[in-house]
Amino acid sequence: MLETRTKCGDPIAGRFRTGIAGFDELSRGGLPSGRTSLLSGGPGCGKTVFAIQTLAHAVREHNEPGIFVTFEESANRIRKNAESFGWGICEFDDDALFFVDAQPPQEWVQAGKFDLEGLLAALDARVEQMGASCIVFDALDIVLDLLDNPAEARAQVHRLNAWLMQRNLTALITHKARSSAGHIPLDFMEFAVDCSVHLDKIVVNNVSHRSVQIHKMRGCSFDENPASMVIAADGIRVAGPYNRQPPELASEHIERLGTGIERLDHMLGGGYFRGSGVLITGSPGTAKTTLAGAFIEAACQRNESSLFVSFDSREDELVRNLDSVGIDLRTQIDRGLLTVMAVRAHEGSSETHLLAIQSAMTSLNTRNLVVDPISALVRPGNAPYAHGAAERLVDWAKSRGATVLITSLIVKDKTAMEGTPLQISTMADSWLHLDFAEHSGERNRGISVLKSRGTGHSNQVRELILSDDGIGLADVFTADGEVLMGAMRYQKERARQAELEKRAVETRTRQRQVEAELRNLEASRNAVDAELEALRLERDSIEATKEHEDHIDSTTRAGIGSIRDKDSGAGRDTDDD
Amino acid sequence: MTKATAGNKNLRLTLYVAGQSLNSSRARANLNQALERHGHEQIQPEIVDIYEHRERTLQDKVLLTPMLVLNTPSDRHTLVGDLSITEPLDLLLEYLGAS
Repeated sequence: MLETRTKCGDPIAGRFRTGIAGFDELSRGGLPSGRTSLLSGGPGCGKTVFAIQTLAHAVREHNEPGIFVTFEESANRIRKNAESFGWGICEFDDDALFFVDAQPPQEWVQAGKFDLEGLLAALDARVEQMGASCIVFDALDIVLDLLDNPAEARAQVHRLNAWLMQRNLTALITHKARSSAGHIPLDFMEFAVDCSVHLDKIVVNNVSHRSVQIHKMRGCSFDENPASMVIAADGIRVAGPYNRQPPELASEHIERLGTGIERLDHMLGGGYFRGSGVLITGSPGTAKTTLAGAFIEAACQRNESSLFVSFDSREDELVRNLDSVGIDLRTQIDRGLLTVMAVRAHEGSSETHLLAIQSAMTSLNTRNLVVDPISALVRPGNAPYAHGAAERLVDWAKSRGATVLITSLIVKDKTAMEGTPLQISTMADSWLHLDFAEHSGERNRGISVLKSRGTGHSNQVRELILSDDGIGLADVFTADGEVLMGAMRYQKERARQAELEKRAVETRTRQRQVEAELRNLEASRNAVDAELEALRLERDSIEATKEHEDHIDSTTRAGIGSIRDKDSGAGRDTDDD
Repeated sequence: MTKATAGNKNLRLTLYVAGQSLNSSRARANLNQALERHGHEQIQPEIVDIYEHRERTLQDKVLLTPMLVLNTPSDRHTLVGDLSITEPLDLLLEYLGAS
């Protein structure tokens, strides 16, 4: 429980962890230990929940006995309400967590000045007996309001503070932020304590937003900005600054995941990166959901647990609509791999939705998340908070290694290239934009890759074609600098086809001509060859005849010669040959 | 520290004080004066110093001090404060005399 701080430079106080998700990060360690903290806020802001959650955490996780003094509600009611959060309040005995009912007695009459000495004496006894280290005074304003003037209230608070310091107790005092008219302003308490935390709740267009802000923390640095908070089934959660580890590219983060559309995979150089954030923007009806569905079906086909958060349609509507373009989610739902979470955007603050998605992802161990559309968070009343929530969701999911695909609606009159309503483009690693191209009386869907980190991606617009068989991409034509799709593309394609066919016919004709000529020439050549051959034969035969005749002639002459000169050398030479 | 005894033995008057603190000292003085004023000198209220009897603070629900409690078989009347406001105490003592 006690953590010696080195960073903050305060040598005295350690920190007392509240165990409230996000708050210990916001306060960089928790409440100052052995000091008094003030928790202020209007009615229903969660002061009591905050206080008892902190005590319950100390008792349960650190075995630190605590005392809860209640001035407003009965101890039993507080105990009962706290039990529903599942902190095991009912299992703690009086030596672990002790409740003091300090409500002013109902039948009492005020007859002059009084003080809190009775309470402090009682607490003295309990603190000693239990060895308590932490104490909560819930709704101290109730009792301070009974005092006649601010000076007395101040004196009591200082007395209380001194008493707490003496016993080295970590104390949490809750009080209403704004005292109603006629009551003593209790602002001075802010100055008397070492730490002051403010809880707030505002309602914008019927959507409630809770926040928590640390006003002061003596001798220590802290996050000064208000942080969103929700009261969930397991208590308060503060949207804390998540530990943002430097993006380590684990081997799986260079793994490509299929988009569910073959040609889109090519456009993206293989698909989406695992663990990346993908943003799909487009005006209504541009098939954002379809692309999301294709991705999630592909994910399930890889046997990965996937979550589809649908803000627009119910599960059965989603399944039916995607079925019409050949995406079969039903099978994946039945296999238990896909969970569809249909949420109505107006039913809670963006923070509530964020939390619900996070708990679903945690319990399902989700590896792939689709939020369709994230822009649903920007409903009236949520706008100022939605961006933070969306950003944290993407951050959080990515930090768990999940691949996140979010769709976002872009209204026509807003320039898509400038950014999305939620400015999510900065957190997305890949950004696909879907658009209608209107030309010659028809609308066609175009898809382009606006950004894809770490990927050499196509700069070409493709036409997105939805059919019963699924999703396809088609090349588009450009003519006079305009992209052609749909019928125009068809026309263009037909024209090109005709051109090709014409050319093919021409080629075939020419080929035949050439072949015929070739055959003619070959025939002529054969004739000439035959003639040549005949002539050659004739010539050869003439030659042969001539040689024969010469031979006979010479033999004859030789015969005559030998007859004439038998012993001459010439006659011998001839024999040697 | 004898028990408060009025006409009725079932009535008990107890003043809880926090030692010699200003409010508590004043309460003791104011109570004695009022008892005299109403001719109840014979009543000796029980004076409980919560510093000496810390266990009784929770038991008797004495969290604000000083506190004067009149216990009757059917009722419990509680006055909180140094009794410098005399009207509630006067009403209580009149009730005590009447019973």
